[in-house]
Amino acid sequence: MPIDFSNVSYIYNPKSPFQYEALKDINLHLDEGGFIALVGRTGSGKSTLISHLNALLNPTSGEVVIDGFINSSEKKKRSRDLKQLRQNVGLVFQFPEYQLFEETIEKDVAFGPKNFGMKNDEALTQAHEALKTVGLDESFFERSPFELSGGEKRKVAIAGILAIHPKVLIVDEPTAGLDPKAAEETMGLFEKIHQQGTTIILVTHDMNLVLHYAEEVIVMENGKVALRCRPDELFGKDLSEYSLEVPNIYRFAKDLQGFGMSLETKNLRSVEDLARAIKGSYHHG
Amino acid sequence: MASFTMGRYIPYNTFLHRMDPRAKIFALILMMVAVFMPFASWEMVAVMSGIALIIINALLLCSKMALHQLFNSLKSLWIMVIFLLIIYIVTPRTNFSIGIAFHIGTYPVYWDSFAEAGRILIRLMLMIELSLILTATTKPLDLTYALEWYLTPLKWIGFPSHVVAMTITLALRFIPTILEDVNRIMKAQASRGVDFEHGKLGAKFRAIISLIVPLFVSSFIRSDDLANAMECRGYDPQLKRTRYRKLRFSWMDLLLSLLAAAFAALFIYVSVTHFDGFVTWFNLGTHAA
Repeated sequence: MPIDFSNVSYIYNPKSPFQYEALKDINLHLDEGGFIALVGRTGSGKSTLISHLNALLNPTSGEVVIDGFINSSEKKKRSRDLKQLRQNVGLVFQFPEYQLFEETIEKDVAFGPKNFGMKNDEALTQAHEALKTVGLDESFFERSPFELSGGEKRKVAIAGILAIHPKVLIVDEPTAGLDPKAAEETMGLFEKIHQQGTTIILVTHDMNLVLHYAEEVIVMENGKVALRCRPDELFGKDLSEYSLEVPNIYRFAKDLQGFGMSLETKNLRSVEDLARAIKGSYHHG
Repeated sequence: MASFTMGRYIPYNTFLHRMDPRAKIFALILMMVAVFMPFASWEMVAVMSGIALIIINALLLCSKMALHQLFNSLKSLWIMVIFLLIIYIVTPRTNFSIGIAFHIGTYPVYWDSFAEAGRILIRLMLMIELSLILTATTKPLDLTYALEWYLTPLKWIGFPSHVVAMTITLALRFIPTILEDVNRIMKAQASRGVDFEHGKLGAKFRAIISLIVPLFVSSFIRSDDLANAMECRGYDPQLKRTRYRKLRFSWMDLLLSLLAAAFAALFIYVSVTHFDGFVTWFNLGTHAA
């Protein structure tokens, strides 16, 4: 599912004192099957950008083409088949646990598939499968989603999107407010889905996640795409102008360099890579 | 979603924005009373409605409100006007003063029916305009301060006017927050394939349920959090509180209140005395002869 933004701008509340230009002339091409991180400070336009992928927002000017579906500023040009698009592009919002509403967990997860025209028992099968994928077993199926812990609720909400089997999965701050173990499980889940061929777009402020999981990172700044590169390339640069945090591994590596150690920071992605680089520098030194 | 901006405070700096909210409420109530006065004949109704239309629309222009906002809120009135018109046409009456417009078959349709429906349309329109002027030019917080001020006399007989005012303040404060929640939940459910606009009645009902339940849940969580936060900061409704912003009544407020009073006095005088002067002066209607 290739995605193309051409000259996309978006203005909130146009022609009023609350007018705000969230996207400014965005041109962007995303290939199929990537794991892309979308980063940038609050208000840089990340959420507005992802809303366009699901046609929740229509551009003020320009157009977005998502696998043939045209989301244009002009009404006439817009494609009609919204349901197909929303089945193809799954969007997990920030704090998705607030979208739960059914009496039982399995019903809530089956809600999406049913909306896309699946029969009841078929939808329930999909729901059970999705729940198992996120690590919730049979004992959860009949329980009320409102009696779960925050992390479990989040898993149910994510299962609600996974049950639709989107080709592109967009996740907005999936680990916010989760304990470290739940966060790691959640990210592991997305990695697994990515390996099965789903394109993942991850919106986050956590650079450690970006470094560890993403293949490519897009930095947004003031409604524009400021930078697009590999994560390890990004963190080799000076990040102060984008107000991005430096991942722990890179901070450590830079500190070591500061103490006079000659370290190769290229291709550093995990603690293991760092350990190897340190060992390598001992051999050379 | 666009209609949610209706009735919202719009930050400009016109004399209407600067006016003391207490004076503004007082003036607007007087003007609403004036708008609802009955008059002696349809000619007088036309003349007085004209005066009210001009003055209130002038105020509306002064408030710098975007006019499309007004049209949006008036759009839904059409159905009501047509409904009223039908009722006026089919209900038989005796005193028709204007005359027959046309016949449907042998049933006479009087101009009076149209005049009556028109009068009610203008009244409703003016009411909406007046309340829009109030909400668009006054911060919600100032409105509740003013309300609390008006409720002060009730305090003397033990009415918890502060509690009422605080409740209203909080309710108003949470309107945008809850709208944001609505927006967020609608988006989330839309990505799960909910169609809020189209679909059969059953599907629509389920769509609304998928919005209402999460909305209730998050509202309860919010109110709980808020109550805790207020208690942590030592909130006690019984205590006397001071204000960061004090309302100040200026000579301009006095002047505008007096103008509004004069406006209302004119309308009430004309109504009570069955004054027909304008019509005879301008030789407008049948009464002049």
